Amino acid sequence: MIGSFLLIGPLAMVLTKTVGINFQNISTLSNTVLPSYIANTLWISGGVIVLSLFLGVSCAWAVTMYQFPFRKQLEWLLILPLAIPSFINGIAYAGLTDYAGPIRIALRATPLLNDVYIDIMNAWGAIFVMSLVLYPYVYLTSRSAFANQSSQLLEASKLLGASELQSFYKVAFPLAWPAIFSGLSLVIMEVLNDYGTVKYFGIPTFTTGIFKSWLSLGDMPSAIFLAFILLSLVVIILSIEWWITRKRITSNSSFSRRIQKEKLVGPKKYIVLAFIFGVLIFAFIVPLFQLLWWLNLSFHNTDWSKFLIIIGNTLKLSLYSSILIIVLGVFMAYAFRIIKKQKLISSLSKLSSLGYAMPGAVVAIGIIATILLINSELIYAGIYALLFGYTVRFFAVGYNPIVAGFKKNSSSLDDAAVTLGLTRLDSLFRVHLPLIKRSLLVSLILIFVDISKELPITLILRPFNFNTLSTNAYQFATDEMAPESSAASLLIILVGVIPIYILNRSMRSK
Amino acid sequence: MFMKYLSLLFALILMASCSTQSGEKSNTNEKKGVVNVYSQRHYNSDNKLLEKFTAQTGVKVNLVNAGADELINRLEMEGASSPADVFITVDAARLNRAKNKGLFQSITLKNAANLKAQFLDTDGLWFPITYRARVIVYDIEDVDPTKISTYADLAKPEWKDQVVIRSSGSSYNQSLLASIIEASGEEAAGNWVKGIVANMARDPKGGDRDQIKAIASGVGEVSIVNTYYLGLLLNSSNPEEVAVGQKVGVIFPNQQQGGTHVNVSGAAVTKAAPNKENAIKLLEFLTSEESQKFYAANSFEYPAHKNVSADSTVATFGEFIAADLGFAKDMSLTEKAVLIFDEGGWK
Repeated sequence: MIGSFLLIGPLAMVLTKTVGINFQNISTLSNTVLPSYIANTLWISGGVIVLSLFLGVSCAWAVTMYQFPFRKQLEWLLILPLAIPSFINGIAYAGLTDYAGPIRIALRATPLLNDVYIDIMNAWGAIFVMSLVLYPYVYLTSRSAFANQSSQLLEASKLLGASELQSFYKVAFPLAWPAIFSGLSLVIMEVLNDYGTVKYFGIPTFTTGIFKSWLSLGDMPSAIFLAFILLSLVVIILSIEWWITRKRITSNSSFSRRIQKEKLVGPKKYIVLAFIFGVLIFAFIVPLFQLLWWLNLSFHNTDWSKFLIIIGNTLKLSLYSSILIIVLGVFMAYAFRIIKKQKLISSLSKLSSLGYAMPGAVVAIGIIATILLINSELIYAGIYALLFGYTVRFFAVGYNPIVAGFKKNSSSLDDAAVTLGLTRLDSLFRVHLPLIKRSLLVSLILIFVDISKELPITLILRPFNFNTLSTNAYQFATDEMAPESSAASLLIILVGVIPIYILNRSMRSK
Repeated sequence: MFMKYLSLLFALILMASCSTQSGEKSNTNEKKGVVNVYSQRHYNSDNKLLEKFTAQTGVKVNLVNAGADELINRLEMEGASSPADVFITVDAARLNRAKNKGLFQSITLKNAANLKAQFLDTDGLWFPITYRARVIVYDIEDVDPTKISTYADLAKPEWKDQVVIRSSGSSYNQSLLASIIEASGEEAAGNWVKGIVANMARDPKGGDRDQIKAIASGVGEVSIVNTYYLGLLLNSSNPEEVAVGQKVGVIFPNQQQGGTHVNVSGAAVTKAAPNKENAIKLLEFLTSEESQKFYAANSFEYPAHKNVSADSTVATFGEFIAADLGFAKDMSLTEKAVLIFDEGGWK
């Protein structure tokens, strides 16, 4: 309960900032640009949902169902694009294709093609660039769902004459949907409050409206009002999903055989390999190549001496907050499991994951307001404000996989544990946690990587003289010095890649 | 297995906290005190100057960089308990927004008389440090620069499908339109927006550099950009970008009509400043001839000091008359500009 209030508190504080709202600005906005902003938002988020769902689910299906060369390596390489901030991916792709980028340089040297003009900075490009870094959310959650599914159900569906494709979308996909959706909901929230990429690509979205009201019109109440409209949209999406799946039966994995991977041969093998390599190349290799090329250009005027401290700061923040969120998330999810009949409490738990649906800059305002309410001295006393901010913002990222993990443990497990004389706490540590280990690790990766990329909250809530990799990358990126920002961008990716690798190994070795 | 990774995690935490220890030597210089700065300027040139300040005076500088409006909001919310002493931003209108919210206190700055009078705040609540000009750039191969002398010229039908420019969300464009509203009124400003929109070669997108690259790509022939970014581009670590910068020429518009639009960076002492004396010391330092020469040579900006002139790539663009800051007295003209952009369909 207290946990929920701590998480909702800042959002409620933000809400109080709408006092004295001036509807004049909002009505002018809605009469002129807001409709087109909403259309852009729907178009871009729709596109990203479809593309990241397609990429994430099909890659997850391939690596769990089939055996093919390099499967083990590809399985974790496919998570890596998560480590690239979407704004950086946008800059990298724009830099790759603009006049001073390698593609155009090469084309200029080619007869007939020397006048080709490539433009990635449009809505299609934004969908492409964002899906490539967001699909891993779907990939991770659906992969662990597919891996835990019972092979008996799939065999049964095949025996009943269903083709592989039919078994997939009639049996496996619906069974995995709650997990897939928990990843997808992160994608949705991430797209809805993206500001950096769409601003750079020149596509005004609903978030543009929020920042226009706040920054240009100096009208924070209207901005926050609009942010809450966005939030309501997310609540509606989440509620509809929850309502549809509320009666869904979950298959209990504990007592069934694991899936036997089908060894791929012939053309099918090459098609699957080509697809996965294609995804990897566009989502990771290409932006990485562009950043490395920039690093090569800017190497001599990069100040490397400060990076040790900056990396330390980034690691510290990401680690502390991800552990904080996981501990809080486990206890909250478990508490709500025990007292599941109390509707109010369970909706509280849903509310507390809404921080992710808010633009980070707005969350930061709520954090400052809350801290000032508690004790104004705390605001510049180290990194506590930041940890608080990250917890509010990223709670959903950790909480959803944890809840999905708990859901798979049948309630008969609790009953058995109690019958065998275990206390509730014992059964959490000895029964549930070992069973949801995989979900916890997924949470940890997601939060860690998300926080190491985070920008708006870090910028405004950090203590004096405190830099992280993302603030360092931002410093150069806002000055349109893309080559100089590449060192920090690459380090953000590196900081994300290492835990992804370690944790992925631990997920496999059981 | 799980425990193994748990212990690995803790080892990482330890490492992380060790490596940051060295970075947190705050408040070691207690004798001379500190000065806490909220600044939008995150540039290396500023950081070097702040280091110099500490070396000269012994006053330690604590710095937070973030966006101007976020910092204003933070100052406002913190009120009397704010730790900030000095507030620095790159936009005069934002300085006045904070001033009108009562976030600054008036001080006597000895150097004020040495600063260009047209940029001085009438109430002495904030002080200019540097400025940048919003100029017209053109394709040197295809455009005859004598045809363009004002911002208004770009809205003429002869530039149809030739204008590339960034979005109306850019605060530079908002300031520019605010100054046009101030000089010629809302109707003229609305017509200018419609004229530019009709002349656009493509939807607005990207930053100032991207506009210059678009000219190099042949997408358009003219654009409005900030001298600061052109300076950066011409000194890029990517030689291809330098080549792009050399493909365009610079026109300082409105020389007969009150001067070229400029964006002024300025600093103020905050109302709640706990270290007021050090704050004033810092402002005296930043506006001193020595620091102004440093800015002139290192930041691709024009110094606000009367006797110092630009000494970087931007000096090669030539001398020009800068417009005054009437448009920035309060934010109302900027707010009007945003609405006029929206009405005119400037994305």
